[in-house]
Amino acid sequence: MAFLFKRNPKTPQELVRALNESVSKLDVSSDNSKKYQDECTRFLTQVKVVLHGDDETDPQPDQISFLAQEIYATDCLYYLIANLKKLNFDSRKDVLIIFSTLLRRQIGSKSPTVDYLINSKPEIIQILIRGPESQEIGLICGQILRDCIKYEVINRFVISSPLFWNFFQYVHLPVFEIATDSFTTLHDLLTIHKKLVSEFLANNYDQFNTQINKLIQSNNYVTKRQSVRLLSELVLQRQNQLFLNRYFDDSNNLKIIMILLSDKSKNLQIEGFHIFKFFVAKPKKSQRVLDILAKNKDNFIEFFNTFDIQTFNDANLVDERDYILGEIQKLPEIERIN
Amino acid sequence: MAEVSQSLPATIENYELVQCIGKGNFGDVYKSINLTTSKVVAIKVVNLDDSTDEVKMFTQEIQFLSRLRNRHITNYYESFVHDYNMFIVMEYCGGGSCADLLRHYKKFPEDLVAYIIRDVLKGLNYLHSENKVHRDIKSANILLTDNGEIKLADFGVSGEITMTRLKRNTFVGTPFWMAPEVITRGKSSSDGGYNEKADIWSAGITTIELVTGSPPLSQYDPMKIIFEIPKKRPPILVGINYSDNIKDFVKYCLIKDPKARPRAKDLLHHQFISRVNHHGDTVQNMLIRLISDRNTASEIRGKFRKPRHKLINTVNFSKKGENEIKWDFNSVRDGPIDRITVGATSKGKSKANSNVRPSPQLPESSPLNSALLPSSPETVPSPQESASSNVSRKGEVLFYCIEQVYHRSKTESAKRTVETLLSSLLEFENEQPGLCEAIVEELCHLI
Repeated sequence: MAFLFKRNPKTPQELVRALNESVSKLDVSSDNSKKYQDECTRFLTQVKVVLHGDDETDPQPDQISFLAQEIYATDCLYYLIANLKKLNFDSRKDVLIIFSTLLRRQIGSKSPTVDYLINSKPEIIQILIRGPESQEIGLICGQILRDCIKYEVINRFVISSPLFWNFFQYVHLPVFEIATDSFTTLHDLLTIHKKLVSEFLANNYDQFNTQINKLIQSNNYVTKRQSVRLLSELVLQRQNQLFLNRYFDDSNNLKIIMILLSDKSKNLQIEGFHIFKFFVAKPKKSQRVLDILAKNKDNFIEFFNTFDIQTFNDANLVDERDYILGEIQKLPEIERIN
Repeated sequence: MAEVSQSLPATIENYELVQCIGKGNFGDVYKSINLTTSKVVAIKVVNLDDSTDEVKMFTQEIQFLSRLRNRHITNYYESFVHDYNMFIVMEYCGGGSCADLLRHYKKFPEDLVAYIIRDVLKGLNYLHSENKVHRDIKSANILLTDNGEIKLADFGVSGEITMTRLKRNTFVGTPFWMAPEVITRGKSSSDGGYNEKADIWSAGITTIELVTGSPPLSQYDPMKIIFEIPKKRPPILVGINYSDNIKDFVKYCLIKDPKARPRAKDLLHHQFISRVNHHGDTVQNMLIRLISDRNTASEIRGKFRKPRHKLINTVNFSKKGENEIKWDFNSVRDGPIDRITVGATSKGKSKANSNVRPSPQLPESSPLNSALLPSSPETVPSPQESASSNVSRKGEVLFYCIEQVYHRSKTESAKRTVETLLSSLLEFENEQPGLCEAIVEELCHLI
């Protein structure tokens, strides 16, 4: 019970200052790091109690307000995130809880934490984006970042940053849970705010297309399946029209999807089909796409005869398959010149 | 990406799978050895392509598992994907499960039960503080280390996908341990099912199981009694063989109303549990002895379970899996011919002539493209040579035919001859534009 003898911070302001001080000491001494880690743990728990209350007390709005102001004024969130790695396992989760709670805070129609992040300390977001580069804090950073990008301004900030493209590398990281967590973040970044994303995809078609195709051609089954699924979702968004027109005119994309159709995995086949169907159904096809479709007419007919969709138990799928098969049969016959 | 974690990437090469120690619906569990550290681990192998579930379901659970760390759960180490399988590396418990041990000794003394249940409650307290409901507490899911430590297993995905089914029951799980609200949740789905209190009920049933040798009602067919559980009064422990403490403890765990049922945290203070704290070491030593006696008395060690799933490449081959489709990515006329027409004079012409097929276009020159064109003859005279040639569309046909001949040639020397022919022809065509066209016209005449 050693801490009984140490003066406990009384007010929220004192608490934040005490926390900042302990966090700053994590830097300096390595011998005492355990001691300061424990101190941080204790203060973080107290911050949590101010925000959420505990068994005995309910949270007090004025206390929360003092706490939040002090946190913004002293860049407390910045120091917590920058030193996340030095905190112990459970304290990192407390940082997540505190961050997310503050993020949801609203005054009228304003979200002061969101404003703070964008206008005062965007560095915090940059650190979060690069979170997957560290095995210890990758998951926590991912989770905080996903909470952040629920706000469109932050989502915009992230996809406008050159760092955004790092996610296409992070999904290949050897630590499985970090890689898949990065994919979840990438997915959220490209699916939550539809209008924002449609602009982004239209303006960055080439780079995005190159990157997503690389993922689809990955050797890793999980990366493959997730990226095709992401593409399917983007393709279903009418708002992404500009992107779609370019995507489905590009015969290179068609080739990549056709290779998926002939994959050994039935799940990849079906994911591939859900994109392939748009190449066939598109009313005005590009010449190159049409050529490849026509040239493989027999292949397709053979493929759809054996295409195993029963396990998926989906009536729509049968209809779609029949429709696509019909469209393929209508394709022009290729007369071999020889 | 400078400081990405330095630890070795997890791969299948780092592990030796020793033997199958458990079977599940989605995959099997193997005792394995980490070849770098020589540490013994448990690896759950999940075939990702077996079900049509989204991989997201698995990856989210893995992320969840990796956020849990506690003495009283089987901890997660790492995972990786190989082919279509996901390998989940977890803490290995050499003492087997409480159910295995119980089968050997028939029943446990109360002290030991209190010791086991205390740590189960600690594990549950941790899981519940992380908002996780275990859902399947029973002796089979309480594992023992060689040192007599107690660890909860099979929560989250590892539980759902590798839940070891009792041999005779095809029923999903066994209902003996299920809280009444778990069974009725389907009916009164209005309030969204059950919460972590369901685990407390199961812990109560497990207490009875450990001290008597079997859970209540286990003499009945689980299919028949499942809907009896919510109707019946909660089971109680009776008889002079059992202390008042354990009877009282069980009574608290088995309060029907989940809201009135105590939390794991509260139950840790119950007399039955807190008493064991005074002689925990003695009980632990007893448990260690029980485990090693049982192990020498045969059974579990070296007990080999035949895996349900084949390990390597466990993919559901589609019917035509073996003879893969050979997609043709050369669009009809943009194959070899187009390579030759690169930069041909007929720039405008090719667009204009509409009586023929629409004009083909060049394949993209991206590196991808060449990777995708295994069938395209890379050894054929390069397009650059011919780039400047003025081969007319009819002339192209000749080149196309020669290319086809090239593909038909079986020997290297034959190929080279055709190559020579082709490049000579190009040379002549450059000298005398229209030559090829004339030849083709003559051929057409003849045919």
